[in-house]
Amino acid sequence: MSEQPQKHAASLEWITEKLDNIADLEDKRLLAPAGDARLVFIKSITDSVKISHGIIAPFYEMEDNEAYKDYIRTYPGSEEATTGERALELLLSGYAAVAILDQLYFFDVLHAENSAVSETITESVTQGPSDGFTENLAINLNMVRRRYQSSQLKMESMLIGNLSRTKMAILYDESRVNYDVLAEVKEKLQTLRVDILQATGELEKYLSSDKLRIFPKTIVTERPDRVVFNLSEGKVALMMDTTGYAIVLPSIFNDFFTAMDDKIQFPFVGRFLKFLRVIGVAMTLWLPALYVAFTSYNPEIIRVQIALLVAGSRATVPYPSFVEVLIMLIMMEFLTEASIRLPRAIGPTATTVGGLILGQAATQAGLVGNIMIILVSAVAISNFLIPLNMMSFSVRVLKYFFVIAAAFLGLVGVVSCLVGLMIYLCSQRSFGQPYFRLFFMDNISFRKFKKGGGTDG
Amino acid sequence: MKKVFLLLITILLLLTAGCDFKDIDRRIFVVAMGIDPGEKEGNLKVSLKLAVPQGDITKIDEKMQILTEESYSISEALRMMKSRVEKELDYVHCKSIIMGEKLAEKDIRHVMDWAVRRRDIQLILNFGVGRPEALKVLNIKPQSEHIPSNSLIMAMSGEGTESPFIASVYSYQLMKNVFEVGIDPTLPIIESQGTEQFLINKLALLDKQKIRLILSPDETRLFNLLTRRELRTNLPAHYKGGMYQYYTEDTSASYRIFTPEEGKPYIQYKVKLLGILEENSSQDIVTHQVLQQLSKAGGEELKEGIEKLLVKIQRSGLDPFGWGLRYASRHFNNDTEMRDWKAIYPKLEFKTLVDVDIKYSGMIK
Amino acid sequence: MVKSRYFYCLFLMNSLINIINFVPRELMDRRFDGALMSILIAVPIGTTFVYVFTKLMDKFPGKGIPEIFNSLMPRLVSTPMLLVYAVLWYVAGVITLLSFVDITLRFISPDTGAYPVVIGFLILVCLCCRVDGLSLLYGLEVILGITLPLILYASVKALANPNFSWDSVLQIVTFIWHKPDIKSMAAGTFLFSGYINLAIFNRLFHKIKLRHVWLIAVEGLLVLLMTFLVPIGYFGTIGVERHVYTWFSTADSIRIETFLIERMLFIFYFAYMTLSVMSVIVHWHVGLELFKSIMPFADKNSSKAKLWKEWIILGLFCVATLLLMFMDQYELNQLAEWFLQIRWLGEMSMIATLFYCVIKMRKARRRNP
Repeated sequence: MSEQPQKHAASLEWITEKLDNIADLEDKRLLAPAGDARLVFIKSITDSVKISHGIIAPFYEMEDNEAYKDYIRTYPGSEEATTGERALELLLSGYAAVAILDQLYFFDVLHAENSAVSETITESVTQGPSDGFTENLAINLNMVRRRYQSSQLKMESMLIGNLSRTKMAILYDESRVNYDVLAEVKEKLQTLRVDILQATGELEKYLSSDKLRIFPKTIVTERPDRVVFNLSEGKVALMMDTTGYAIVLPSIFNDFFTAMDDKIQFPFVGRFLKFLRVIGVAMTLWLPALYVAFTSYNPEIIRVQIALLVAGSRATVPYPSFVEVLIMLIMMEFLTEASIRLPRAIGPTATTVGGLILGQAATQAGLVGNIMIILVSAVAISNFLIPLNMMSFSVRVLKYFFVIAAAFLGLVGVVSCLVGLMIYLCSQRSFGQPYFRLFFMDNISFRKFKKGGGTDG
Repeated sequence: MKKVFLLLITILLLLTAGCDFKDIDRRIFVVAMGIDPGEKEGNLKVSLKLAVPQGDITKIDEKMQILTEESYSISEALRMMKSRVEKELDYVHCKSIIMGEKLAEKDIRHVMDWAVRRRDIQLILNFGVGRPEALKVLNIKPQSEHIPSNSLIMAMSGEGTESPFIASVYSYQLMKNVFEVGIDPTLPIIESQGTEQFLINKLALLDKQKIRLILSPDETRLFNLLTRRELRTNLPAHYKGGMYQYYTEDTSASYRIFTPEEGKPYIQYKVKLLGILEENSSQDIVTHQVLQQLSKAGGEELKEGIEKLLVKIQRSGLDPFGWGLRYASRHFNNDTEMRDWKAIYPKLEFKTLVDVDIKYSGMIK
Repeated sequence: MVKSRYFYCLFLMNSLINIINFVPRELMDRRFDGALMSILIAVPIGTTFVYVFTKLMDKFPGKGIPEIFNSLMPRLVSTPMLLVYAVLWYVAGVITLLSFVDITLRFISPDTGAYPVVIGFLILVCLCCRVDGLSLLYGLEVILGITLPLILYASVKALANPNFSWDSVLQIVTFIWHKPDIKSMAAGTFLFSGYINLAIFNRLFHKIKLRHVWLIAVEGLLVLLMTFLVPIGYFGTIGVERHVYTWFSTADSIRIETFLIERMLFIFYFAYMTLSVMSVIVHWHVGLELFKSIMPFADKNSSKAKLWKEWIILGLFCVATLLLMFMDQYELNQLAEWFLQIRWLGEMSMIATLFYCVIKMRKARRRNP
């Protein structure tokens, strides 16, 4: 039928072969006295009402197959594909394939979930899509599939939880995924024995074996575009029914500092934003510890002028600097925690009022220094620069280690802590992949030796 | 793993028991030190200028405290002063040490050794000679000062004023010059004028241990011109009965030592200046030609001044420019070169090539 | 496997850390007696060592020194040799550690006692050197990424200082025509001896592409000259010998006009502290692996026994370090001097033994192909 040899004929057998491993592929045979037909579609992106009203019902009402074929062919929006590739494309974009009398017709039954999809809450961006995952797995799959129209995207489903019987979907791009990672994930999921599984975070906890870990090794996200982006980078996504979050793995340290805006921004702006985040993390981790080190052990490091300012602001403070820092940091944590739990309308007010009054009163009472207040707010703000919540919580906890080290050994403690943290980060693996190292060095040498850019790595 | 953690925590707890730190508000910072010869022969009078931090930054009033103690050694004097303040004396922010003129006329090496040996005293601290005595200089409290001793720090480090008369010396430089063969140390002189002003415009030239010669302000400026790049100053030029002053935008000076086979050895200085006319006492319009003539006249005057200074320094037998070191560094006969230099030095002649280029006449002609 | 650039990281680490390991002290002491000539000779020798050793190790892809020695030599010979090397590596780490503790006490925290600082360092190093080699290489690269810009900044700032006395430097340069001195040469080659860590890290490398050997020579020469000449520019030809930690005093003499921190010393200290802790970790990691390879019950592979073994060795390391704390400044200096020379002999003997191993392997292969 086809002139070009590399093109495949549009046959259902070829299509189903291409689409194996897609769990929500429906392949139905329609039998009626008047004749028979075959119906193939992908459930998650098609509208079942449209299918039953527009395809199945007429089939049983029509007198003979020829009339039904004409009906399908002339129905607005339906198409006839000649090549297999085109057929695949149509099928993946929400068409149902109907085979009647050895002819293939494609019937538009795209199901777009727009109304039920809510906005993202935890990962907001300035531009770009703002739809987030919902509690419905089918809708979520729809959102991913719509953005990733490739036959390489495979989906396997699984039931987890003896009692909850939660539906799980493993998504990956067949041509890009790292099969070692995939095998490890599957094995871990299959051997998982739990009764109830309700949240994606819970699943994440079961997936990693290390009990003492501080850093997240999988991204938990509510953004379909992040999932799609990561799928294209060869990662595996796990989605669960009943929760609005997906897990992406393996994830490296740098992934947690990428916001989805970075792709939208101009390259320079994007770099700048990323750089800002790195500084932000450095500040949250270091500022309180350095304050302790400077005021208690090494006042010689800062300039005279600043040293005198700090000494002046601390003149009335009755306890050592690390107590001061700990008190203020914990106060700040209270405020952040409180504003999360409070209703949205009251949250900001409570924080502002609490923060302002607390800071002002505490300095006036002479319980904490002025500079301490500046520092704590800088710490709090820079902590929120991290786009992914999991990491931002980790960093929040981590800064206390630095403060304690500084309280014991001053600057020496802070630097030791930094070295220890670096080695710890480097020794971590996320599903066999190195978690942290200078990844950009790979790109540099890559460009040097093989001219032309490459994006793997 | 839990056991390891517990172990770590206990070790850390033990550590805290052992170490005691002093918070910044339990320390009192010494910002400047003055050392004078004591009343008793051989004693030293050590004075400290302490910065007292204020609780309220919005209220600008400088608080400082001066402590003085006399003893046979610096360390002893400092220990004695410890019991006179309630907080720990901290020297890490000591930015200047001022030696009384009387002391500097005797020996500076003792004080220098102490300052460089102490681990908590920085090497980028300014040394100076206080006139009439160091304590008087420490007592100065300028009106514009918010942080104790800040004005002295600013003036000496060149962060604030860029006076052409200040030739500041860091302690590492002083130490280098005291020990190095073929170069002699210098120290700026800080004069107190009442309790609100100081004046730094003279330079003391030392042999390896004490003051031998003091340069006048004009000579100090020329000295700076010859040793530094981009000195910002104004210089005079007299032309046709009128007095002109030009401001130097860019200056550079370099020298070479020539030891010809026959004839006397000489040092050739090349000085280049780029200037803007700043002052004109005659009411004449400054034309291009006048500007050129001015450059020439200014150059002549400068040349005369420089040669006078160089001869004066040579007569004194000192070597603040490091000519000897330069000579040695260009010769490979390491065993004999310094002996050669000793013979050459008194015979040296000076040639100066001054190239003054006054480029602009200012905003008006 | 691992990219070759990690090999350069190992090299760079050692060449930068020389300031802590008393190399400047050695060179300064002989600045009028042929230090400069020794530097010039040390560079080609060091580079040759690097080249020959990597080429030899290349013949044993994925194998460390213990595996090579144990498989090609009788156990009676290989065990004592490995023991000597293990001790050498331990001493390399311990000198860096002790000298850094001393520097810390002098420049940074005179208030905290020596023991809290040393125990703090020991805890950190012991926890970190048990990490697997690959992670250490990643960590090393990250830490070089942090410190290298700072060190470069400090160097540029040091040279750009108008008070830097080029005449003093040139004066020392005029002492070049002097016969070289073996001690200074031993000190000079220390900069190149980062390659020797391949003894264990070769387990991770499969094919090291030594691309630009001249780069190693140039880097080594530049760092050596900087190490030697910059302090002279600050303290003069005579005054320089009076400073105990020449480079830290030099850093203390550099002022940063426009920053929160005014004294370069602290930036320099920060950079060198991270780097030297890292270097102790790497050296002790190698030492630990070597000790493990000669421990008698090496075949038992239960993880608990392994853990005990590691902690016993590390415990010994720590006890020895604490004992060595009794040394004063001059004794530590003496130890460092001895180490610098013995280490050089050790390197030579290791290369010679490896050569023998390669020949033996070839013969064995020819006999039964």
